[in-house]
Parts: sequence; C-alpha cells; structure tokens
Amino acid sequence: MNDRSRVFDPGLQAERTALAWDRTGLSFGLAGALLVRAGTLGAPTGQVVGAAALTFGALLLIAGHTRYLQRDRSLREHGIAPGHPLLLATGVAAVLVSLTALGVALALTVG
Amino acid sequence: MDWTDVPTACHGTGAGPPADVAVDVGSAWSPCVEVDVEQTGQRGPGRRRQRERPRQLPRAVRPPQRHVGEDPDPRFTMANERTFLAWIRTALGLDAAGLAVITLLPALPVPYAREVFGIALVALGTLVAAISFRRWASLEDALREGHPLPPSRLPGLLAGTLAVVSLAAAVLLTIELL
Repeated sequence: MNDRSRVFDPGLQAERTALAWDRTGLSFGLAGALLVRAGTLGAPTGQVVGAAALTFGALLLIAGHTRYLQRDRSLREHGIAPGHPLLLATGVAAVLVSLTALGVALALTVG
Repeated sequence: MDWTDVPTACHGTGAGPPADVAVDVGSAWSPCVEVDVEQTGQRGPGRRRQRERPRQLPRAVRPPQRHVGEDPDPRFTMANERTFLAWIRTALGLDAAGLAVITLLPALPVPYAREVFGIALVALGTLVAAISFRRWASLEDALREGHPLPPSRLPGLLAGTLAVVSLAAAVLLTIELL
C-alpha cells in the first residue's frame, strides 16, 4: 500500500487535512475572541479562558503544519499513526471553551 | 506516553478464564482484561504484555485500539481526522454563535428570549465538543476492524435543535417587526 515508488495520494488528503487543522485553529481563535469580549461584560474568567483559546488556536496552526510535514514523509515510508494525543488535546480544549462559554452566558444572564 | 494499546474490548476466541490459570477471586478477572501471555500463548511475540492491565480510561477519552485489526488505509484515517475537526469547528461555531447572540444582539420582545437562545446554542456546542473525540475513536476502531461505521444521532440532534432555535428566533423577530 505504501510503495515508495508510487506517488502517494492524488487526492491530496494530507494537504486537505492540514487545511482542516488550520480552519480549526482559526475557529479556536474566533471562539476565544468572543469569549474575551463577553468576558469584558462582567465575567473575567471568560477573558482568561478566551486568551488561552486564542493561544491554543495559534498552536494548532503550527501543529497542523508540523503534522503535515511529518505525514508527507511517513506516508511514503510506512503509513501513518492516527495521532490521538493532539486530537484528544483538541477535543478537551473544545470542551473547556464550551463550558466556559456556557458559564459566561449564564453569568451574563443572571448578573 | 504509551497508553494506545491498553486492551479495551473483548476480542479473539476463548473469552473465558484459561483453564490452567487459577483465578483469584479477589483479582477481579474479566474477559475484557488481557491475560498474561506466558500462560495462554495466544498472542504473537510483538503483542505480549507481562502483566494484566485492566481498562483504565473513561470511554469519553479512550484512544483507538491500536492492538486489534489492521492499520486502515491512511486516506480513511485522515478523512476520519478531518471529520473530527469538522465537528470541533461545529462546536466552536455554536459557542461563538451563542455568545454573539447574548452579547451583540439587541433585546428581543420576550424577556430572556435572547439569553435562552444563546444558552441553547452554547449547550449544544458543549455536547458536540464532548462527543467528538469518542466518535472519532470509535470510527477509527471500526476502520481498523473492518466493521461498518457506527451510526450517530448527533447530526439529527444538531439539525433538530438548530431548526427549533431558528424557527423560534424567526417568530420573535417577526413579532418585533409588526
């Protein structure tokens, strides 16, 4: 399946996946920015977590690119690992952002 | 950190206590726990573990089972990864939409309607975010083992909730305009 003599993947899967990571990083940035803004209206925790989400989004942009370079190399040699630590971190970060957003929304409603 | 191959499911044949192993009543033997290789001899040398390792991680964060099945076609692995990322973006988008509704929209004619919409969107985003990783891991498992991909109720739930929220918002905005 991973014959070195073959050009891997005319469907540009690795490139599309790298772009999906980029979009996800940007989404973290957007959600983070909105959290910061909502936080300024009376929920300081939102500002802290929002800033963290912005940072995480920036890290994902870097991680997505690094991952692409690694995959492009390893695809030609021996297939790829699913790489769950980065995915788990992304999932956990999204849950943290969501829970904070929920808390901020409730705080703004009650307060 | 190598917890990728923690045994997580019953697989293979002979899912009972090996006859020649004295089962210690206190040791909580389970058919889903990988049995000592030296005693059963059922697994290849690359797979052996020295001791039993029961499942440890909660389902929501348990990684794919790297020790069963075969590595799927890398294209499928990447397609699954992109699907996971699309769900994450959906969750973040719902969070952003909910926060925007609460912080940017003018008040609606019905008291707290704006807040209810916003909180509903963010709650849906939280649910989607919480399920995404589990969904990715179970799809990866199905790909490894060549099983049909498990169905998901999440798209239906998402579409239904968004339809209700949108419809309610449309009704309220119409009332406001009249």
